[in-house]
Amino acid sequence: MDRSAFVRAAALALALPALALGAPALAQTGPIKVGVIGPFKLTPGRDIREAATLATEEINAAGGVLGRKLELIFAETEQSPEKGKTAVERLLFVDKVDVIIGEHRSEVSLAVQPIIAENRKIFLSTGTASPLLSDNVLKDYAKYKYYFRTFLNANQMAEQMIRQTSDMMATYKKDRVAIIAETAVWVEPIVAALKSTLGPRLVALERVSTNAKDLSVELSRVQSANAQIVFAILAADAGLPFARQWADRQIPVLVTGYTVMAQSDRFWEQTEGRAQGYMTWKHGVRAPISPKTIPYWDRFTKKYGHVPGAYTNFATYDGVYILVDAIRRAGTLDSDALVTALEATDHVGVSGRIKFSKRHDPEAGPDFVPFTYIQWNKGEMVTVWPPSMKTGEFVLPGWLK
Amino acid sequence: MTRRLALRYAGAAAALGALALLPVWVSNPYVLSVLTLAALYAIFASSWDILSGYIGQINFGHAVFFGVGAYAAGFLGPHLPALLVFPAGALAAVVFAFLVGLPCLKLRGPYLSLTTLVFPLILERLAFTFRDVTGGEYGIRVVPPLSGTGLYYAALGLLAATLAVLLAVSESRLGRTFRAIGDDDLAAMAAGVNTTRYKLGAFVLGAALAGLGGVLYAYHLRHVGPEVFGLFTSFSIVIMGIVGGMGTVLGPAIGAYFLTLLGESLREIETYRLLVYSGVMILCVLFLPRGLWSLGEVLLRLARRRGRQAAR
Amino acid sequence: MLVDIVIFGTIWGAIYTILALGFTIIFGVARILNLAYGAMYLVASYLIYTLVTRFGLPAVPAWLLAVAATAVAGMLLYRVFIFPLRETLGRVLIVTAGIAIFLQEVAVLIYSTEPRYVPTVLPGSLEILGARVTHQQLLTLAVAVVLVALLHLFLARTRYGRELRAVAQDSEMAALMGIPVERSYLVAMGLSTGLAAAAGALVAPFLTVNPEMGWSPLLVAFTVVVLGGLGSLWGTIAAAFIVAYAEMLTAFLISPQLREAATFAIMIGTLVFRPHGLFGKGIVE
Repeated sequence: MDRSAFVRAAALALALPALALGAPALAQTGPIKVGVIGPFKLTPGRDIREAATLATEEINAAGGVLGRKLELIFAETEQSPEKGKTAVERLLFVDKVDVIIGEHRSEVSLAVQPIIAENRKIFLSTGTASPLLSDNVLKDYAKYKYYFRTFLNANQMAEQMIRQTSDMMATYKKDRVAIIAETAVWVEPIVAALKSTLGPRLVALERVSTNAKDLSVELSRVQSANAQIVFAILAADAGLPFARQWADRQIPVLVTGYTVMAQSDRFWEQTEGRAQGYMTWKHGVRAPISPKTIPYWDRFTKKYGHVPGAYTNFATYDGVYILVDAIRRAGTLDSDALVTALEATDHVGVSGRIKFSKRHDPEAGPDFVPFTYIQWNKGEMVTVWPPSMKTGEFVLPGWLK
Repeated sequence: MTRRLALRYAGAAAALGALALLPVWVSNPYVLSVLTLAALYAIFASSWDILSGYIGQINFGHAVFFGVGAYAAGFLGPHLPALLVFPAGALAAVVFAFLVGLPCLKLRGPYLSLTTLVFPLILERLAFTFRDVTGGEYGIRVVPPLSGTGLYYAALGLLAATLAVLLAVSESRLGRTFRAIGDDDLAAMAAGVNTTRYKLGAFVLGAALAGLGGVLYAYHLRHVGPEVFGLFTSFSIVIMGIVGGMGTVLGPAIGAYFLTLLGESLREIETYRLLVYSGVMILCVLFLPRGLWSLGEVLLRLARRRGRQAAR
Repeated sequence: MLVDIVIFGTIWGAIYTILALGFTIIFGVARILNLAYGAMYLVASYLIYTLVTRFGLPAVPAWLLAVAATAVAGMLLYRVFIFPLRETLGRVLIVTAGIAIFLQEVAVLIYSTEPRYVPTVLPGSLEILGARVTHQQLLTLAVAVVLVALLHLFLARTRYGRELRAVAQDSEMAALMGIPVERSYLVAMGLSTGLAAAAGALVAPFLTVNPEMGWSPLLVAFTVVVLGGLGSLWGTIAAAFIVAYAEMLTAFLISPQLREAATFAIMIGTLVFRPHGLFGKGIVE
């Protein structure tokens, strides 16, 4: 039985080099290879995949870039830094991609950012909110200049969320706010900013674990504190039971903030209509954010049979076009030249007007990338904020009228 | 030294030698990275085997020990010279071996196993809750003193050491005592063996090795986050140990290499990783009680039978 | 808020009773620690989701069908995977763990990791002493009470039930007396998974259905059994309510995030300080 150890060891030693043989040769005139990473089994990942695919098809149909076609190579990262690392290494050393885009989770992006940077390839984030990613650009420009993001970071989100909440409080004359927020690192700047802005008007602060499925206790505590508005940050599954309980127990609060589940077009059926009046930030709405937005929305819906779901959708679609635009202006795939070209970006995409700041994050605001809120009303997602982009009026939930 | 033992030493040495020589032919960083990961999981599975394969108490919470080692590297890395981080990681893991071991000691068999399941969940929750210290879900970025080929050799070195420990345990009186406890702990107690002390010892030994491996894991990933305490990690180790062959010294390491490489090559078919792993494990438990190791035995027996028939 | 604690505590206490009873039955009768127990809870929830959402079945038939189907699945599981290995409890443990993981991954494969909803049977709510309780939650409580009563009747009054109790007490003696022990094991398995399935069916409408939902019921059931000990129906019920109220008190008065921690603390604390449990026969011999 020990001979078998020999046999196995030898087989292992012989088989492993075979892995190395899987490397295709680098093509100089073949397609431009774009590595796409993300958790494709989840909605944000699916949106990355679909938006990137649609953008690529359109670009190739119009003749490609510099006479070459774009080719997308997908690598699943499964929300795990460990899988993300091997995914990125495979893209870089086996598939030999020219640039990498995508990823929805900050912890994966943070883990792979140094690897991509060391190999001097562009990493265009089309998801993730961690400010640490763009902090690195400022702290060590020479190493991290290859990093760009087409989506707002958590600090920018905090700023915009405060603006909306203050607006809402002034318009509807409410001054008692409760926060129900997940215990996640990206949420911290938002909670901190809200706490300092609201001061004593913050009557309850509930932190929820990311795998919480039942928020009945939090709702009870918020109700006991006589809150009038609940600012919810629920990026995981809790959004669904939260909405259902809010309506069933007729908790007398308006809801705002960011509930990922409420951004899905299935939310209305999933809550059996209890979502009436539920509001959430949603990046990527069918509103005239730019002249390209509504046509894109309709093209996407027609092709895939469902509406753009997560924020990664618009961010990825615009990301691909921005990349291609930079490649055209630079005239080359050389990463340093691309960095210069990307920094000069001034692109009107479906998310609005994208210009990168010194941090390589997009500028935020109504003139740049606006922060839009939708409210569910009679089965439809209606854009209700900012006022310049609204497609309908705000309504109160049934039991508050 | 018996012939069988010598063959085992030789087999292990040959396999490690082949792996050590690999970087000479293969320079693709991706391949090296996957092999480093496989070596690290081999360390985790082998260190797990000490308690689970010999004493027979299936530990579903082994991820605690290497997770703690990894976080030790994350916290202490910037403050301690590299050489001290390793013993720090091992020490941290040993502390947790006591924390986990003590409540479990009064339990036997299935009850112990189910209880061990709880600890990684607790640590995962703690890592998320005390975000200011642990970086929450973002984790901690680790600046490794070793990387690439250097790290690969460090991992292989630790794997060799772990296997050596396993070999020593297996062939010594300690190993026989472990196995006696595993077979029938009431009888062992009746014979005067302090089973509690031995169980704790197995926890501690396995934990120390896993803790060292955890430090290397943090260096490899350049990052440590709460997912090291996840159920996925714990179960992967158990599956590797079982599929490879519990209590067979080399079995878990082989299981780790096999499943890690399988997992990477399955990448094309998206990731049904755990599905395949668990399916393979169920089949192994039903048909191949000592995992891939016993597959080798079965094949050898067939070969001998073939040989005998040919001789007639 | 106190009213909330009492109401929620009572509802969860009822659910935990069902979970714990299902767990003790297979445990007490066949000494099998079924790590796939939580997976049965998961299977039942997904079955209901599928029957209601994809096949359009109305709620009550869907519930009954899902529970029955899961109970049958549990018995099949026993016959195919556990029966051949029953000599070695360690291997039974591993194979049930493998099945639990496998079923979880199958759920991910078919339904993805995103949570699914199961529609409520009785919409609406009413006010009890200042707290809003949904009709669904009250229904859950009622069904749980009925199930426990039925179980008690089964064990006390029917032939199968008496055989189960005999086997649980002393399987060798029972075999000598002519009781078909293997059949009792099978019945116990069916009952056990049926109860897990019932718990899953009751909880699904007010939580969500997701692939990771199998582990906490397993751990809660185990905790209740550790605390309450084996062999006493009222002991199990009492332990289930103690755990439920402890969770609710922790959630409301300290922090909702520490709710699970309360359960773990009870489990570990009992094992360290009072390994024999509070009532009945402890799991530590």
